[in-house]
Amino acid sequence: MYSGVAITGVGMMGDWGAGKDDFSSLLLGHPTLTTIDKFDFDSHIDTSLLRRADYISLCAFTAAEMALRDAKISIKQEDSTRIGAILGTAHGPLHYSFDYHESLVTGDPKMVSPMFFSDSIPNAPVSHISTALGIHGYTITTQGYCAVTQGLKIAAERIQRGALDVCLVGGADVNHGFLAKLYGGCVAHPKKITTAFGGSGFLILESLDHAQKRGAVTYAYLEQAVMITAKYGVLSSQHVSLFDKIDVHNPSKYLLSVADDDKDSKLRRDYFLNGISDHHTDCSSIFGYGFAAAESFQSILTVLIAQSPQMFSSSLGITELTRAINNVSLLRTAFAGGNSLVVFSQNV
Amino acid sequence: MKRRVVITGMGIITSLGRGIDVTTQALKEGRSNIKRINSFEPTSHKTTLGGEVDPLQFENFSAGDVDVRFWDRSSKLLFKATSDALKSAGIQNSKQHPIRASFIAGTTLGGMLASQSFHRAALTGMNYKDRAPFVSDALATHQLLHISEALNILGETLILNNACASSLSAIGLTYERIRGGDCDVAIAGGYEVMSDFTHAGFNVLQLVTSDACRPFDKGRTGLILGEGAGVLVIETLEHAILRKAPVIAEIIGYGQASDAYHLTKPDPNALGASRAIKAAVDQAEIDPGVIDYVNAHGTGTLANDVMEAKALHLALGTHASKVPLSSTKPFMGHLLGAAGVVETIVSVIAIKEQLAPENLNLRELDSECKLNVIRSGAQKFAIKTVLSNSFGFGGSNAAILLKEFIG
Repeated sequence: MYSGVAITGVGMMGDWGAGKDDFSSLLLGHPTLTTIDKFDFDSHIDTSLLRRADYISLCAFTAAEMALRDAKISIKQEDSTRIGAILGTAHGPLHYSFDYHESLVTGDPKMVSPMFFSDSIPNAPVSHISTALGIHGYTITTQGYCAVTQGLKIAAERIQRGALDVCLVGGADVNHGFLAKLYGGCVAHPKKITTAFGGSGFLILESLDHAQKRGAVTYAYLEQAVMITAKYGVLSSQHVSLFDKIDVHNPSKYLLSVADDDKDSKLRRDYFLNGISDHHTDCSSIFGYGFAAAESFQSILTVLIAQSPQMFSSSLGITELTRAINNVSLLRTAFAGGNSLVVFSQNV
Repeated sequence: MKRRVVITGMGIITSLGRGIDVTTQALKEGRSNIKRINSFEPTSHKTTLGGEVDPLQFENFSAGDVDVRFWDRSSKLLFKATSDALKSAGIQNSKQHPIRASFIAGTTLGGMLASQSFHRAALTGMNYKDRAPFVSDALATHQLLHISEALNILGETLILNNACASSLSAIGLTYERIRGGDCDVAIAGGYEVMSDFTHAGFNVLQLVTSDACRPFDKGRTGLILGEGAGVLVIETLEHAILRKAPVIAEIIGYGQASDAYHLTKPDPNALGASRAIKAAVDQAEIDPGVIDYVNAHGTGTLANDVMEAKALHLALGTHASKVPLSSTKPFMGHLLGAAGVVETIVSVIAIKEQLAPENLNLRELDSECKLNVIRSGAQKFAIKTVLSNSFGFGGSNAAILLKEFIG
């Protein structure tokens, strides 16, 4: 359990739009859908700071800057060595990876643009963020299907230890036509992956002391972030629980769950939820495929519900949210045996 | 809570061979294993050289009763290093008794071999669907899953990417979690595999050399890539004593910082790198003067080596020009995401053997690198405390301090 790790800002953008208003429209089922290559980055960020960067870097930077603005943090006024940035991603800079590889296979390897290669390394987006924003503290990229939860966990640990005042934690992934081929054999509905997706969400994690000193408004507090990797067969024989310290039957607590679109992920979700029927909603379909981008949106949604449950009762159709709820959890059972739980609370 | 953290198991596989003994022998003898690349056709690139793992290591590969037909080389390398590390730590695993520990690994382009194979088949009109079962390895996270399933490791698995500092970041995060009381024992490491994709990338960036890799040499012209994996079992001293584990060395400090300067160029003022080293020294609560040997990042590129020399002077003061130092990349190549763990293991070997490896291929020291670089063979002297550095693209900087274990 963490204490004193506040969420003081959120930022999100995607092929559905940008910012909290568009995010609410998305939840109400009225997304302004486009494709990420048509997103007007210039109206949100100074794209000259990320010249020639892949879409994922542009998305991540847009969401990170938005979250900082939301938190009213100016890095220039802070000790930048005590600010960190963590980005979770499943696939990283896919467009540049595949473009670079295609030019390698079909052209002269010596003529391939070096920029394509350096920008195709998975830590390129977080490096662009730290360079453009002047972040000199801990920066890292977590890779996988629960990468955002793992980023939240690392950030909370470092803030609790006193190593960071502020940490930007987000997720980003951008679709590429080739992904449908990659996932063709392992998901229940591979055609869904051909649907455009792309975007990024960021949360600002801040030590409570730091937030209070600068008079920041807090959305919620990060209470817990847990991840274990185990497939269903392993889980069912080993009695693994993600809920050791969480009383999920408490009426003041609410649980959202997300299962990826494969049989094993759904079995694991059912395994964890065994006996938990009250105070629970499956929100797998809200953001669809989107890997770490979807995970970041799910995390932000959980924060927003923790801050103001009643606001979301109609848009999500969850009548229980009209009750007094002070703690909202997000359970994710993802591809490749990834199982994560993140808990946000209204209370310090 | 601050607890003493020790290394109780190590596994390593590189172009020098598999295991601690083979690696130790090569370091003692000053024997490198950089050769012409065999796993793909390298002739269209500036250099044809690389540090590849012996292909015999992959023949008749098995991992218990797990189906390994669709594992790529990365998974196999990581499996070998992990099973060796667990064995040396005296950790038994079985179907009935899983290893309840987290496994954090760093890699730069760990999934690239499977990904490029599938993509290449699709681009060239081959039947890419035949390659579909291999595709799970296109994501590094699947590689850790393979190992966890095969060795029955039940806990958090986490892939970190911090470019060439990735596996040192994995060790650092594991160390800090154990030191801070989050867990008692964990597994950490890293891996990287040679691929056409990566080799071509470093070639077009003009960072590789067709000559030898000569870190800190006036006439250095670049790096040579390598492949391999390294894994450590890390635990609290109390936990190690309780289970009568062999304690190999102690981790006493770790630091990580960002340049925020450029995607591929290091900060010429070395501010990020020096902050990472200083943070490790501060955490260890030591005087920099007690550091006996530095295992440098030392890539042999023009920009890195001067920057690293500057960082050492900023962080260690006058001791920087006195402390014996070498880069071991000329032995096995630059292992990118795996470099940090492999060089941590080399540093532990230096403590165990009281022997610092030679900085191979050095002819004339660059006057901008005012360092005590080890030449003319490995040197034997009292080595109690070692600093090892890893720096990478995107301004990633990490440093670790290791100490001889005294109970």
